[in-house]
Amino acid sequence: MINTEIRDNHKLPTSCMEKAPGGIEVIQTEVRYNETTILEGVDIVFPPGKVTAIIGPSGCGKTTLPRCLNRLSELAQGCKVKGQILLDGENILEMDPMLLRRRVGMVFQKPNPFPKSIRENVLYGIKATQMKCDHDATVKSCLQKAALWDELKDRLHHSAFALSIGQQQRLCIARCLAVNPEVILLDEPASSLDPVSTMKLEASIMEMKGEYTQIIVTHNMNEALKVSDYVAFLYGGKLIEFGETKTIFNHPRHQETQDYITGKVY
Amino acid sequence: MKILSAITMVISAFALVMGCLSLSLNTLKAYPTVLLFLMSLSFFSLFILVRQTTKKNNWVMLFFCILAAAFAVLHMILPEYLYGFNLNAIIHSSFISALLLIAIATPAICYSLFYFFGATPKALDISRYPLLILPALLILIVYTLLLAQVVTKGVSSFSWKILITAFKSHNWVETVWKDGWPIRISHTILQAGMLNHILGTLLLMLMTAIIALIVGVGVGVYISEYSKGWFASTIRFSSQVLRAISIFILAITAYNLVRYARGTFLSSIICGFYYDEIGTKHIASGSYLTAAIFLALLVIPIIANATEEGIRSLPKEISEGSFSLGASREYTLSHILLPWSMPNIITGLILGCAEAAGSLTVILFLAGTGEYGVSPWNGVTSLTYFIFNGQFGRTLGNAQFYDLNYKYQYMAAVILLVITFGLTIGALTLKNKVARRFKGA
Repeated sequence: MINTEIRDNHKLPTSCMEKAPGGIEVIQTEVRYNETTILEGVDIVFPPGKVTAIIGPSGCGKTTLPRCLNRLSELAQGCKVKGQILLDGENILEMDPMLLRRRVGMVFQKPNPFPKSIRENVLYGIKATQMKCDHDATVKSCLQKAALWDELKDRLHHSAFALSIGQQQRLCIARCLAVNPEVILLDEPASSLDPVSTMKLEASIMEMKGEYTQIIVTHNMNEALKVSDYVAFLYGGKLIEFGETKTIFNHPRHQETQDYITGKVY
Repeated sequence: MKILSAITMVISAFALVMGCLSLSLNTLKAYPTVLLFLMSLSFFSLFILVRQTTKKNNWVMLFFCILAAAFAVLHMILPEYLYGFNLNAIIHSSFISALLLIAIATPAICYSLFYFFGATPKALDISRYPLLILPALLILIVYTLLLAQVVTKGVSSFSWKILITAFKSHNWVETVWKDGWPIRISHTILQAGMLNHILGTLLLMLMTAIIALIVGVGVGVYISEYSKGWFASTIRFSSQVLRAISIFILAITAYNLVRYARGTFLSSIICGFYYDEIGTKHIASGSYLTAAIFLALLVIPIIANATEEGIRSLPKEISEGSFSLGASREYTLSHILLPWSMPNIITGLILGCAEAAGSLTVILFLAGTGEYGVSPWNGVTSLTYFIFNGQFGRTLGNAQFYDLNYKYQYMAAVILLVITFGLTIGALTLKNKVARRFKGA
């Protein structure tokens, strides 16, 4: 499943470089917060260039899983990750977290633009990681990819806090794209958005398919059905089922999956 | 009813103002008795009117009426000075009359408001306002009187010449050889002025601000971001305790430091020094640097606290967003956390600088007359010390300074006020600008 060619040719990412999406393999991973076990024995292969949706009831660890993939979970006290998580064959638990996070971008549940101008927001990652590239061109291309350029091209120097929530969330996507990651983690990105913004967001996700490996956490079945190629169903900290979206939604193999998708229980 | 309660309202409002004034002035002997009688009268007429219209007796109002009459009589027979009664001081009768006036005027205003607005529940609400406003009014009047006194005296004694010359008081004897004979010429320079004190205040503020900003922000960042557990709480606790130390103890410590540093290799820095007109080096009783360090000890906890609060007020998602883009901890700190908490830091700094400008206690034992220049290693002095010396210089043995400068102590006070006001206004504008820029409000 892992693309060996990409692994061999891997170099430091820069915004100007074309780069292939990376695959992530999670092997027997266990996550514990102090005494509580959040995830237990999870085995998933996220295929490169595809959209994988993580679904499951609240408290099943579906937010924790993507946070392990860019090691943001380490920021919380008492969190321990055991097992192996491979990004293009490298174990991320042994990588430098700064380098890892440049390759694995993340969009959060609540839009979290920085208290800076729109332009500064997009360029933040580039400046923080000291990449060398054409700033103006990067801002333009990233905002275009996030379908924001036409709305915002006249007010790039305004504060990002003045934008609407939907625009803020798409700005966060643009910001994430600027460092040109291989993988993008989306943690319930549409949960605080209105229907129109959600549609635009889903359109951008569909557009980014093939270019980036995307992992989207969602509790909206329609969204999962619409945007994802693969679905992972988590329940009680365990991976119950993983497969192609159509297969999971039409012919789930497990009773729990069937119940959750049809909304019978939970 | 309306007319009567309006009249009562005017009388009692006047009585209230008079009462507040007589807290600080003792020349209003004639008014209180008349006012108290008038209020008693209006209470009585209100009582009668209410009894006629509502067929009910408001006994509380009658009680206040009798009380006001009693107070008026009491005030008539009050001697000008009170002593005895186990009091350790002599109290002027104006103080008592102020208390009597306020005690009667407040309920009078409340009742007149109540009946003026027609005795409805809303009127009851309105009639409670005076009770809320009274403390604010008292404070306002006291501060206005103080400020007015300082400003009028300061402006009337204002002089440009004093502003731009430095205080000098020095005698020395020069020996000139003429025809083989020594001729001794005595020189004296006596010059009133406060230039060095103004510059000294500014320098002291600047140095304190720099020291306290560097250390305070460092401590705040360390507590909130880097240190976890008992060590952080120990630092936080000790900085709070440091804030609670009596300033006088710090002053004594500073004095002892200077005393023991004298004669050692550090004496030039800690004690301060100056050269007089004929080039002799003198050791001062404390340098600007020492004073600034001890003042900074007071300001550091304020700034550390402000920094910590500012950093804590940043939503966690935003710093996580920064980390998720591959930014290092230091980059996040300098580009997100510190700009975000900048308004808080500036507020802390304003408080700190005002403290440095107005604090006398810390530099009480260090300060000199400030004759010889203003730089970090010269003897410390400031406007507060100028004011202090203008009042007590003769008692403390600074007779020449007192004689030359005592006339200008109010002018110094006004300049100190101007400096602190200017600083505060400037810093507030800066803070608003920074807040708008970084928070996009």
